[in-house]
Amino acid sequence: MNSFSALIPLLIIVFASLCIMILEAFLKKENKDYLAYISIIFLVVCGFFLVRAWNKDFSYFNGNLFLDNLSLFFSFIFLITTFLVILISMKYISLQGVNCGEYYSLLLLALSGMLIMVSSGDLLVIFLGLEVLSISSYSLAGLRRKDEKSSEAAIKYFLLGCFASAFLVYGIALLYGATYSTDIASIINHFQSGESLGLMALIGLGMFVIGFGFKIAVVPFHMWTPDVYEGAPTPITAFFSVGPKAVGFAVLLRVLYPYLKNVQDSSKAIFLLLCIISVLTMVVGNLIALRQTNLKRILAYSSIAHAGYLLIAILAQDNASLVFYLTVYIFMNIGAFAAVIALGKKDKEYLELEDYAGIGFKYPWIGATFSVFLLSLAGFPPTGGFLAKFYVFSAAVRQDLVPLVIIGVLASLISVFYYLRIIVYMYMKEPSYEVDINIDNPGLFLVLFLCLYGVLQLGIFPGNVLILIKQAVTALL
Amino acid sequence: MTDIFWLIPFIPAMSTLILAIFGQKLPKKYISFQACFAVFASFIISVISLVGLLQTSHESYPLVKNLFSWIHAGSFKADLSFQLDPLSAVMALVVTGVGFLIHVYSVGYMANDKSYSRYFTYLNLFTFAMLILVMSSNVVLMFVGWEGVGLCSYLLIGFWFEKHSAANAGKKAFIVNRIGDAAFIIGIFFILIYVGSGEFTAINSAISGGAITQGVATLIAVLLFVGATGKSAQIPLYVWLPDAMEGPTPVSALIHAATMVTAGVYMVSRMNLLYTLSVDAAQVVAVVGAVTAIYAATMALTQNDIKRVLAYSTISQIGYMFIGCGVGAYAAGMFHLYTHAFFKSLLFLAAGSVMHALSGELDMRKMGGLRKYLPLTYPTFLIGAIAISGIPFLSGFFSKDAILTHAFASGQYFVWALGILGAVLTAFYMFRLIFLTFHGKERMTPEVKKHIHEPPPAMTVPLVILAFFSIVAGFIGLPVVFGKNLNWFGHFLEPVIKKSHEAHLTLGTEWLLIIISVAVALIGILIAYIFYIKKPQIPHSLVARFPFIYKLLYNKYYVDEIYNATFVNPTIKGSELIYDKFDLKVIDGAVNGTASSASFFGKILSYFQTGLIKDYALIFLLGAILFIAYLLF
Repeated sequence: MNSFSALIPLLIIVFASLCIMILEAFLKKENKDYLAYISIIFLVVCGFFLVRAWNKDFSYFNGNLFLDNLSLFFSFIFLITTFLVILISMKYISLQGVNCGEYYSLLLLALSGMLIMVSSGDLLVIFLGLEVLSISSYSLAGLRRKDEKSSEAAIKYFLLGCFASAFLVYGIALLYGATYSTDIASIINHFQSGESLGLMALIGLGMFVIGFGFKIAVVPFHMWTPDVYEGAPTPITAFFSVGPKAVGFAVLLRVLYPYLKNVQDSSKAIFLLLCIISVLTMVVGNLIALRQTNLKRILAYSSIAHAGYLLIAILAQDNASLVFYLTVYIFMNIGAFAAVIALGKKDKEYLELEDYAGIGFKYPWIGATFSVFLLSLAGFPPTGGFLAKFYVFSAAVRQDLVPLVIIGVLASLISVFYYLRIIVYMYMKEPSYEVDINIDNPGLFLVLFLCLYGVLQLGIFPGNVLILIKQAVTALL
Repeated sequence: MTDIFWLIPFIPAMSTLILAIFGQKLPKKYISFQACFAVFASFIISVISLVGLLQTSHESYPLVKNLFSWIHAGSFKADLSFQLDPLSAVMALVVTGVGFLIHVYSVGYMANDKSYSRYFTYLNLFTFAMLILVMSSNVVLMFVGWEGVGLCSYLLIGFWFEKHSAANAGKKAFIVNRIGDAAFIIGIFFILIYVGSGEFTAINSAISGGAITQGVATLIAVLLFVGATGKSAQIPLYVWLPDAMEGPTPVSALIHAATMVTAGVYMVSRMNLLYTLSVDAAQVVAVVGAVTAIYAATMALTQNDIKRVLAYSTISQIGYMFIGCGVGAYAAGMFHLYTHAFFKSLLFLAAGSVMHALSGELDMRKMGGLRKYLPLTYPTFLIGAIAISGIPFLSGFFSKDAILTHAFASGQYFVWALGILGAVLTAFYMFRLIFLTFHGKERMTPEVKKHIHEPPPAMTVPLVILAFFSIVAGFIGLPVVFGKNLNWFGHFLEPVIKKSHEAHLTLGTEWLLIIISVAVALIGILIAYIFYIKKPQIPHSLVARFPFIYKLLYNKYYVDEIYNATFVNPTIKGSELIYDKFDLKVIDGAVNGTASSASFFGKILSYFQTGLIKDYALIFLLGAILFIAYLLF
């Protein structure tokens, strides 16, 4: 249905972003927390409009922007992501001296980019959204201006991001050259119709995948990830590890699902390449993670490895399990990052493994929730992480992707080591020095408990969410 | 009225739960009250159920109360359901009745123990498990009780686990029972395979319907009996029971004399159709019982530890019960179980009273002449000893006589002869115990002697009650020589137990058998009198003359040593070998090797993470080129 309603959520977020930018100038320094509250209010309002649009299929701009159920579901979990990130940022900003005006503004701008990306079927619009997201992200990575690592992260992210974008745009151009269209549906139709499109279209698609491979951080396009994750402010790292990754998969799902499903001959090559990438990603991500001692780097490699598992879901063409995995992943990863952020005080973050010795007894709530998130990331029942992996792997087995599943299971076996090592440090090592943290952080504890709830709810009673997801993915059929 | 019988196991369960959670904080007085009251309440309900059962017609036996469906997988179904029939009613009465008295006794005996609440938690838990065992309506739930009593036995033998020997004895009991239980559960699996259900009614109708061949019946019956030899301490798995005396004495009385160790007899009686069908299995039961009866009695002859004598005596007496079951006289076996529960727990409790008086002394060589110091313990002990020896008109006489008569009547003369020989030995070692402990020279040290005193009423009252029942309990099962229908106990069990088809002895023969067994008992007592009162030098000269036999008996035929050499040590050595050579080297090596190689590859791969943008871009580019190259070609 052609309706302006399709535009409302996006407009709200963009408006919120601008509002905060302006308001920042008028607020006194001690009142800067209001910016976070205002952002949250806008998020809630936006969420309200998203919920109202469920099952309505609004579209605008001649169908270039639409809100089908899949867009709605993704938009909604992006709102939740941003909401959680804002909550974990509030104290962090004042403790670590990050300038907060542009912080929230950029965060919301990044969100608007993500909303555009999941709400469009046109490659150019998607690219537009991607650039809005990317440019905000580059700035966010470098927001701790006094910190060299942060600036380094921003530059690295920017340069490599441009590099990847170039591939992406070139890919889109080639696809356009081959099919005279930038609309995903008609491109797929061209592939499907059997007429010879030549290598141009195939290479175009390949470059498109490479460009997004960068965003979702799969091997070998992942090199930026650890450095950027380490340098960026930690709440932003949490945001990077879930937001851009989820949106990347959302777009790949829109493109690759119909492609792999309908185009039999030429898709084999892409299929095989994706298999290789998936294996490489799982193996390399987990193996390097074993050697890391910095929590943010461990989680960075862990997020690379998870991209590998998610690729299996795309290859198994089980959209529901992919979306479910992403949903669980958001809760467990943000939860884990929240626990990392919890270990900080004025101008100091505790990020080394050594710092975590004895934390489980000193700060039982942080230790316990962090343990649950780590167990979920490793895939232990009864957490959501277990069910997510289980759905993905069982879908892959149904599609006869058994070797892939075996590698996936072995890779996650390796991952258990570095996840459990953190728990071992928290509960079984004697601390050799004092770690004292600022625990006056209600927003962060709220996030810890919300994520805990999410992980357990999705692990034990996933029924309702699964029903919603099933409704969402019908948009692809 | 009768349908409240499911409360019988439920009340001790509740009490256990409360004691387990709050026991540490509750005052001793309350703990004693609750623990005893729970068992007493169960006892009252058992009595009510028995009365109700007697008013119900035989056709409606057994009464079944299905609480809820416990396991339901495919066609297999096991419920949490209890049944009440004469057999389980008798067992429930014994368990709760004797159990209650022993609980009361424990209040006095354990008064100064620091783990008071733990003790009563275990004791209540045991009562619960034992009641599950005897009241469950299917073998699967029965196995739960079977394992539950095993667990409690382990916990209570090792109750004073600070003592190394107690902890070891607990472990030994547990491990030896595991062997039996493994066979037992395999037997249960066979039942489930061949019958398709674990319900006793279904098993019985499958047997009487001919669904089970004799071969299968033998297989199942023997497997179940192996389980019984573990739990009921028969050859070859009896070795744990003497060591189990490391536990508190009331525990020995309740678990290792009156109730748990007789579970095997109950099980065989419960499965009597099976053992009747399989002649071979029944023969195995009879022979194992007879051999155990005499074998254990010989070992009791030379022991100096008062509780160990009683332990061997228990093994021997359970042997008699199995003789009864093996020759088809299940009612007689159950009858002996029932009388034995009284006089054996009496003997144990009286022994506990002696220990209490002598500050924990167990060695009979350091006792003697206690008769005048313990004016109450002595007569009760004596009553127990007379009852177990088989002197007429005390309970043990009737039940043992019933077993031996049936053994003779069924033509098993060898078994009968062993039983008679065992009876001589029983009378002898029991009176050896009496004479060494209560008569003769006082061999205590002076400071021990100073403290000798009768125990508090909480301990003496149960002694008196048990002594009373040791005397009269036999009168509900009089032999046929006293009149036709006086075996009320046997009649009561008839609906459950298939009537034995023999007993065609003439009255004369019956009289003869009774006279023989009384005579041998008296002979045993007489020899003991001569040996230990009249001419105390005889035992020493016998030892000097037959040192080999004495040593063999004193060292319990070296069976523990043989088991250690043949089973225990090879197992330990083998485990150590496997641990050293396979586990540490191969398994750990493989694990560590995997870990270190994973770590190694991780290290190699992280070399690529140089931190330089040009390298990152290069790898990106290389990846992209390979990707597109693959698409091109």
